Amino acid sequence: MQRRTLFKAVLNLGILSWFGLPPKLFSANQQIKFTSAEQETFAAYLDTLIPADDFTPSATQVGVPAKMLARLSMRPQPQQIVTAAGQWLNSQAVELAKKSFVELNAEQREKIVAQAERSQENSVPRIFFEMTRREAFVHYYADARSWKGIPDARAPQPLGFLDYASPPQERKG
Amino acid sequence: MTTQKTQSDYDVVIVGSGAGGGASAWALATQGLRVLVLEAGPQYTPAKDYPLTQDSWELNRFPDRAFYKTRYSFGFAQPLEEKRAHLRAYSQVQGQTNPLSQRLFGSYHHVHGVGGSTLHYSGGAHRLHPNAMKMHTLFGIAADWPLTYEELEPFYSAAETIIGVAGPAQQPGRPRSQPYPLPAHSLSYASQKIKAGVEKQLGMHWDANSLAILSRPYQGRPACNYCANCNRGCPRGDKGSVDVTFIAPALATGHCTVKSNSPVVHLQVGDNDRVVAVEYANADGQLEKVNTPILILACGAIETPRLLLATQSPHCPQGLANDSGLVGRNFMETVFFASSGLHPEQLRTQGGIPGDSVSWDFNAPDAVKDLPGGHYFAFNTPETDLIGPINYALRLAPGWGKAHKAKMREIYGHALSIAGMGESLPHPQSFITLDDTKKDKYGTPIAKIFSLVDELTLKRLEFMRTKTRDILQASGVTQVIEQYSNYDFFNATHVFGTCRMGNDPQQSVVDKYCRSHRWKNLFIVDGSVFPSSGGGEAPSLTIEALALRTAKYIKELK
Repeated sequence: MQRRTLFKAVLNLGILSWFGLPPKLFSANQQIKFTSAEQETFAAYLDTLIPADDFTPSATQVGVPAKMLARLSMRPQPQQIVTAAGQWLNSQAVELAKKSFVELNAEQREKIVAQAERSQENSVPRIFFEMTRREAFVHYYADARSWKGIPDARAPQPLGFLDYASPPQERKG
Repeated sequence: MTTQKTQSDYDVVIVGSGAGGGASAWALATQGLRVLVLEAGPQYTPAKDYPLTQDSWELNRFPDRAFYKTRYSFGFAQPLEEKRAHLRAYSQVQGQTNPLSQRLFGSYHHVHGVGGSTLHYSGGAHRLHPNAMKMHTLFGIAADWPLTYEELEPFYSAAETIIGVAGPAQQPGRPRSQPYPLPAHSLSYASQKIKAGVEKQLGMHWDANSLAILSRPYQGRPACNYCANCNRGCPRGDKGSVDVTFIAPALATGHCTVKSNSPVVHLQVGDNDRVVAVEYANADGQLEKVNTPILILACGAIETPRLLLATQSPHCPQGLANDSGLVGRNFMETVFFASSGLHPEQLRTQGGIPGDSVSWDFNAPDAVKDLPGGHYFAFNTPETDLIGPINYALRLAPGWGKAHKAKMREIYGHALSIAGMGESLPHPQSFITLDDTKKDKYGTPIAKIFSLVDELTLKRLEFMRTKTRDILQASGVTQVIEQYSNYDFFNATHVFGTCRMGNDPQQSVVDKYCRSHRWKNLFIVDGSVFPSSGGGEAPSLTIEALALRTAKYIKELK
């Protein structure tokens, strides 16, 4: 099996695919800290994927970048992808506006993220996009602050859904 | 590791505490026999271990602790055919789920823990169709059960009463000696939509399912509050998992001991065709041995044959109870097809019960022309796990940015899934054996699963694909946005057949009382004894009924 095919297979296996890999697979001395510039670029990128809107906060406002970087720093391969993708984001930003990705406005960042999404399959920006979109949504929607405006989005217990048989318009909440 | 002194305090030793082991323990202990249950996994504490009150609830699948996971490997990866591409799993958002040209190996969803796999089941409490027990006579395939539905019926009723099954007044094809102990649950709003659509447009029947989930308080347990998360473990005790229905009252008799975290390492056989003792690792990891006047194996259709095949001695060089050579053969798995889409109306499918409504229209094994074997179709949104924001974000809402957030608010609660499950038939290339190269921590080979999707199964998957789509469409869904089946993935919850029961010792492993034809103190009570799988019914109730019947027989032997 080709490695790239396997990677896609793993990506597709579910929300907890590589996200669910136990950190202890790698020893502590393999952990590398991201530079502050890398962290800022990553946060700006995630806030482009998940911006604040009238109802809900941005990825950064609920702490998604910190959670993801903590996990990514434990895994050599994704870590390398994040670093390479950060360089790619900045190179695209320079090409677009002669600025770093962090310095771009929202519209300019969206253009570059859309470019990552459309990139050739198995390229660094594409892998980075797919990998981070998945995990960012997992972290974001595991936080109740992201649920505002979504009807019935709440923990299933202790209340349950006793009005489950009623038409939605007749239900509370 | 040395083994401590042998214990001789029990009349019956049971390995496994799921549907078969738990029901056996209850039935024997209430008859005054001294029972020891050895369970490889832990005793879960529902309120603590099933954290459905947390914001991150959706990330917590059933908390199988890694150490206790059943280990197994796979043989033969079946090539996938281009002409069957329409059967492959895909999601409109994520694309084709298995990008390979061969079948991928997913999981055998087997829980180690007091209560076994009922801890994460959806509570389906189904009787087999009587004709599903006569597949060889009627169609020349699989094997007949050595007992009839009528012989099993009183034990079905007894199990339903113990569990507190909630079911409808009428259920087609299954004669009953008494009504279900509890009334059926009201249909969810989504199921009402399905029922209205399929009855009008397809002429199908769509009714309340029979479920081991309490519709009223029952014997000190509360009624369900419809959180839809049975598969993550029920923190309230309203779901009839075996830890609350059979094990707890068995312990209350004072005649039953359950040892959790105690995997069986070795079965010791002796002269006179008897299993002498069981060696197991206790919760501290020390080996202990217990004599087995009667031994009941109830570890499921993969672990039970593994234990038997690994027990080799001059008395049984091919493995214990394997004189017929059929231990591990005739493996039958879960045949399923699920289709999902977005309903135009807000259904709020995040609440309710998994599989609260069903159609039995195609369940009789002759219901579909030229496709012997039954089928069962059900509302399936919770079991597809399309009930929380994370899965909506990843699987249903495309894109990112503000548009993604707006889409989430637009579609949340609209997901509708229909599943079909169907008959699995034995095939020479589907079997369980020992892995030559991989062993567990005690040096016993792990199980190796060989699984083939044969032509008849492919035909069945085609039928279920069409039917699940028809049902979705009749319910108001215009586009399928996700489908999943066992064509391109091995994923099994219900497994059967690997220690088939029958009257002929050359053609079966155990007799009609689940007793080994040769080893007179050895009984097997789990899905492995099923000669045929049934038409997609959940097997736990049948296993429990068989266990109660076997326990009665054991008591009579004593």
